Amino acid sequence: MDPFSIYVPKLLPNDERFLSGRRSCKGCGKALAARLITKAAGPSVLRSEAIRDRFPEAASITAQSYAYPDVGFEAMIAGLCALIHAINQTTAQGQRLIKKPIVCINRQVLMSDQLALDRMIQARSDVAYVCLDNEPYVDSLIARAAPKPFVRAERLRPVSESDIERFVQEKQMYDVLAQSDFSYAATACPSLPFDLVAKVQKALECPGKAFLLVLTPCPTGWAFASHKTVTMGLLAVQTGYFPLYERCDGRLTMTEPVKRRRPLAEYLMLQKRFMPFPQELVAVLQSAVDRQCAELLAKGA
Amino acid sequence: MQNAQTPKPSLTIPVGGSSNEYWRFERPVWNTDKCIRCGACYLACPDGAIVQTSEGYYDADPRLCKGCGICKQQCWTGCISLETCDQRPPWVVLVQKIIP
Repeated sequence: MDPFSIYVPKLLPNDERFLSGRRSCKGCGKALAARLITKAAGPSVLRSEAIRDRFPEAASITAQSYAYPDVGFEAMIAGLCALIHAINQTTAQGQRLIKKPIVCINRQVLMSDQLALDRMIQARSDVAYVCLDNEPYVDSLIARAAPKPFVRAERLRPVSESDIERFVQEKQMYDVLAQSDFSYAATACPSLPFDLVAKVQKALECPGKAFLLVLTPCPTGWAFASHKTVTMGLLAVQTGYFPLYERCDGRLTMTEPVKRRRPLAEYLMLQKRFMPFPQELVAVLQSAVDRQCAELLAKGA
Repeated sequence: MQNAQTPKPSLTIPVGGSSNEYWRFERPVWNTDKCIRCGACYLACPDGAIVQTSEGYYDADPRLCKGCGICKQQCWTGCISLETCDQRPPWVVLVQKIIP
């Protein structure tokens, strides 16, 4: 952490808008990201009693403020935008009571449903999408790369170098976001909290759609000690595995440029999920990360 | 024969609302002599369990803290230590009485 940022936590609002409970494991990076995002977003207008009296459906949204288990993605966005449009219509002309809704989705939604990202890109509603990425899809890559038992049939296709390069390229979503019409797109990590807060505020202020990809370390899934959540996110940034950039009005900026990147093995060693990952593929992963960092730096310069 | 006055052990599991007190094996304790009240622990807590006292120091809400230890990791001055918490849930105590 930057030494100058000491005492800065007091600049953030004190009230907690994140409902803690048993939804998250201990040391959950996703919970930390959600808490910081709710702090950055500010107080919700939907919680005021005047709005609730006039729009009873607002109460149902705030009651499940961060859990929509049974609602479809498209229906949720459409319902939310219709409600916000209706609320903004009631206020005086030129004044928008609600600037923009923030919708947090899991990266797994985008990985499992190929059309979900297309719908997000094609939608014309002003929504700030926050994609929380705890890398559940890496498990299948590791399982394919791990050495197989002697008697086991080769049902899985072995991992090649091109697979790893494609994985590194797709992980950042830079190519997808560059081709889309998001007015603001960025990557962030809760280990750098003020960077995340600033990016959420920018996503809310900019006109049009915004997209934020947030890396959320998962102690249970990645198999590391729960107190290392923040360290793991920092290492992901410092090794270049998850470079932080923002793309505003077609211009790319590296928000946390790392001059001396640490070796990727340091990051992978701390996670027990990478234990069966072969050493020769670590070198391939390192070279893919190096190439991608160089490309991003060249574009952002 | 069991006495009728003896209260029977309750078989309902006390969930305790959103309390996380039975999750943790360790709980953070602040040394106020070392604490400089910077609030880095408050910022890094994933559960929002750390609250500020009236004197400006920080303390963990026992209902919300899960004992992850991120606050200790993030503390600059090393004023946070983790104490072992041997608080067991009532149903575990009950099972241990039945099966010693």
